[in-house]
Amino acid sequence: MSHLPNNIVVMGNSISAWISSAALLASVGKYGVKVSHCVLDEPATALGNMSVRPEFMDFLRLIGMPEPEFMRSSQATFKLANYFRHWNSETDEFYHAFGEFGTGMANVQFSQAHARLQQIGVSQAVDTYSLGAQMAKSAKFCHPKPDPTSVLSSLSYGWNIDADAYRDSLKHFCISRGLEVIEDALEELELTTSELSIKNVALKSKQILTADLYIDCTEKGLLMQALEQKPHSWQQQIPSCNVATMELPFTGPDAPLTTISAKQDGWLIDITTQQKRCRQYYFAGATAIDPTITQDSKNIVIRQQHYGCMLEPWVANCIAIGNAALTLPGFCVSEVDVSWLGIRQLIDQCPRFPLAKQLIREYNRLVQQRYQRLKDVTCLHLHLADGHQGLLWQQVGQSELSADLVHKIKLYQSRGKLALFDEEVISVNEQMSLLMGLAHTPKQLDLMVQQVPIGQLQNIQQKIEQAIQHAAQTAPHHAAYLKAFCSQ
Amino acid sequence: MQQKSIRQIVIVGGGTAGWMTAAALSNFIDPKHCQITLVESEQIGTVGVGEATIPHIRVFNQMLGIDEKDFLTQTQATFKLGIKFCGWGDQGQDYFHPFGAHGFEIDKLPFHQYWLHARNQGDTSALDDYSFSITAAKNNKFCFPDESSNSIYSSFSYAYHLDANLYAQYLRTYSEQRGVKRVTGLIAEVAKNATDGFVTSVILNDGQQIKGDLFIDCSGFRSLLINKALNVSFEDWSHWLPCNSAIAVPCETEGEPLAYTQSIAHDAGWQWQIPLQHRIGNGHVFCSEFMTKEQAQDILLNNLPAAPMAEPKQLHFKTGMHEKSWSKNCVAIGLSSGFLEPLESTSIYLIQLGIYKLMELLPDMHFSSVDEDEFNRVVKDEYLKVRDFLILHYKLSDPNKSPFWRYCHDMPIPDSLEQRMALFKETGYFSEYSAGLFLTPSWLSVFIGQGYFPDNIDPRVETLNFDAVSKQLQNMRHYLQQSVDAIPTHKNALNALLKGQAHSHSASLNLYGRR
Repeated sequence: MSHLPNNIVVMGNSISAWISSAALLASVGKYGVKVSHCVLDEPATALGNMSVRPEFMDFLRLIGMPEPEFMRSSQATFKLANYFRHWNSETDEFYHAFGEFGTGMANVQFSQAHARLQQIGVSQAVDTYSLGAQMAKSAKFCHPKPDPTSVLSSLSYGWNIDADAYRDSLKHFCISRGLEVIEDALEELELTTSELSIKNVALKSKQILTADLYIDCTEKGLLMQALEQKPHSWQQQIPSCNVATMELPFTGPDAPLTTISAKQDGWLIDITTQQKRCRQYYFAGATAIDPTITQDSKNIVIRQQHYGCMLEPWVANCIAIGNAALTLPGFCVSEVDVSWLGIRQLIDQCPRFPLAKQLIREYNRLVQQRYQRLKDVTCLHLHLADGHQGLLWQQVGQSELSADLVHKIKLYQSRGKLALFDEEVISVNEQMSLLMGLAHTPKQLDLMVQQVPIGQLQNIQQKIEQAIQHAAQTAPHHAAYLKAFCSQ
Repeated sequence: MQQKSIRQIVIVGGGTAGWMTAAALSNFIDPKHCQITLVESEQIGTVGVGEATIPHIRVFNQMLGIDEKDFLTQTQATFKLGIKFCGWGDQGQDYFHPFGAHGFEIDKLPFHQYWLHARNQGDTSALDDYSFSITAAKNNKFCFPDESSNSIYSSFSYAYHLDANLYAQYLRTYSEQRGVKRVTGLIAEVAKNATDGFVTSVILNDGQQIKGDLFIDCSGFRSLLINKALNVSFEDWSHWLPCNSAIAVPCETEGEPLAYTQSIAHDAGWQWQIPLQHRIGNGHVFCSEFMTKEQAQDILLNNLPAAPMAEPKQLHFKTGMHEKSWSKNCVAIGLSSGFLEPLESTSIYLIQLGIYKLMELLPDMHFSSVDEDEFNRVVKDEYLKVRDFLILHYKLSDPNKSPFWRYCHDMPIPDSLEQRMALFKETGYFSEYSAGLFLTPSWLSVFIGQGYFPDNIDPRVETLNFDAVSKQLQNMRHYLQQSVDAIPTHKNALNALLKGQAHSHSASLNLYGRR
């Protein structure tokens, strides 16, 4: 008969580590599992600001942290959309929202109706028909309404957080809930001889940590390395590059969005939280940074970034979570999202002893598939960019796409349809609106949409636009709403 | 590239698949844009698949704007809450596979973990006791599901038992009213373009030539276009699903119609009983390598619930599917695409799947290969998942019942199924498909119903106080029984609908209701 692990040790000082500890404490901790956290002596890397997807609300619910408290402690602003600038030659700017866009029109899909109206030049950009996009554009925000008849039910939102502040806050949160925290340095990992697993962890202070399960949230995946696991490189799909992180002058919390701008030699991701404005610049190692990008910035740190994932994030009694398991440029997921994805699956399956081989196999199968889907959506962002000639973009142009992604792109370009595969992480809406916003109009439209009189489609589309404009105009300003919400 | 729409669609075959396709296409294609022609021969009988259905058919009917009362009247249909598997279970026990979930989640952990925990502690309640559908079916009760997800009455869905030939006739009238042209005759030849191999026309034995841009193969097992004309190869799955024959015979009704299908295990296969308003459909699916036709027929006739109404008819089939359901300008829908035995009433659902996907990807004259790839990918994926679920029933059978069941028990199975079974056996954990018809409640029904219990359960549940869990389960059973007591009998619910005194809500593409 299997039982819960007696104890689990989370190792690392990353934001993944604290998310893992908090989640385990709230889930298996309440059933008597002892969760400990070994910080190690890894320097706490400055994380800057990070975007967090809407699914993170489930984490907050799990650990019992009210949203206003989370937002105060993480200095968060709301996020409704990514704002793409100069991303491709066809679309100079485009708001890509989390929520829904359009609605079914005369029994045809909105995307088809929109494409038909666009063909004859009587349709606006697709973000015109997304409330999330329009509110992001006009720096407005309010929470979604559950009433499906309200246009506000089409909203979905995430957050832009100060990841350093949130990491510290989560640490205090975990300690206040009884988490044992060991601050020490790693001396040696002792492995079992019979099969490759971790027997114990010797610390510099001579303390020996022994656990049933180890969660590797170290920046470099130290435990996984000891178990002879190396990340699978995605160099062929996503070129390695330098990432410069910097802080820009703060001018106040602005619109509820993340700005992603294509530059000649790479791309910028600008994220503003309540008191900080941060920028990440992705560029090829061989190129110099354009001084306009770093103008007025401070605390510039440059690191080289390789992208890839662990093919088996769970090996024996060790599970890699966060950056130790997956690294991707932050278009659609951040380290916070990746951590929640991994730890959520672990909690859902419930770790147990003796180690269940089928459960480990299933975890690796599911998580690996999801990683592949995230990689594909990331590649999709890069692939849809055009008009830039710098070295990094040249490398992107030479990169390989997976067969599934090639099919997905072909099907959209041909029919305006989305091919969905098992274990997609990014919603249908998000993928579809991204393709609609950044890709070319499909070559072929459904017979169904061709049979509907243009006037009827135009009329419905106008009504959608009016409803969205009205809701966006009457919504509160993001800054004011944020202030009121965080003071609750 | 200039878009050039197809102008002529030819459907070959007029059974359930042919007329469902014709009805669906004629519902959204204006005959001014595209002419739909259906070719059928009265000399070729239809298989009349799918007398028992699953809830998705309601979405199909609603898409066509079909009035439920009219439909039930015309097709002699009754309501269906699930399938009772008689003699399939552990030591020949019966079990139900309901259109609904079992129990309610407790503290965000799956219900079945609590039930397994209680069982391990000596609780004797059956899993079936926690299903609204099963409790209603056992009491021969029925009501329409509620739309509110908070209500116990939203924890199930329902389908129909129908006369498939009457359904095809009903849809024929529907289609012809919407401009579908019906041509009768036997197909003598399929003409193809010498350059690209596309089908250009079908030639009937009276010499009539019917040209088309898109051809839909609904010719059933004969697969006249996809296989015979276009040579798409067939992937044989009969080593996993060895039944290859069936004998069917209707019999008179007796008593009130049951609100469920029965699948009764026999020595080399199983027998269906499908209660309609005017008769009961019966059939014996068997493997000819383990039983002769005469033996199979005797078993069927000796186990009819009432007097037969016609001579038994025999069918032969091979389980499997074509490598592609869409090739060039030909799309196979229904039995011509693939055959999976009717154990879980999936035939009409698989027709529906093909129709939906075709409507979504209806090609233009350029016939992009990406449309074909997408159609084939999605259809094959679902066939494979349904196939695995069907194989599970055979694999879990009692090997001591007969040589046939010994073969099924011992046969190797697909890796995909092997892994799902191993995961459940080791942990009691289900990994849900992202997309697929049969989800946790269905797999759970068969696993538990056929005595395949996990060696371990979720250890979080084991830490809980057993008395508290037991009390919660008891309350759940009581609440379910009370809820079932409050609803009408199946017959009364059916009569109320037929008299226009009741109506259902909108259907969803979910086997288990909305809760």
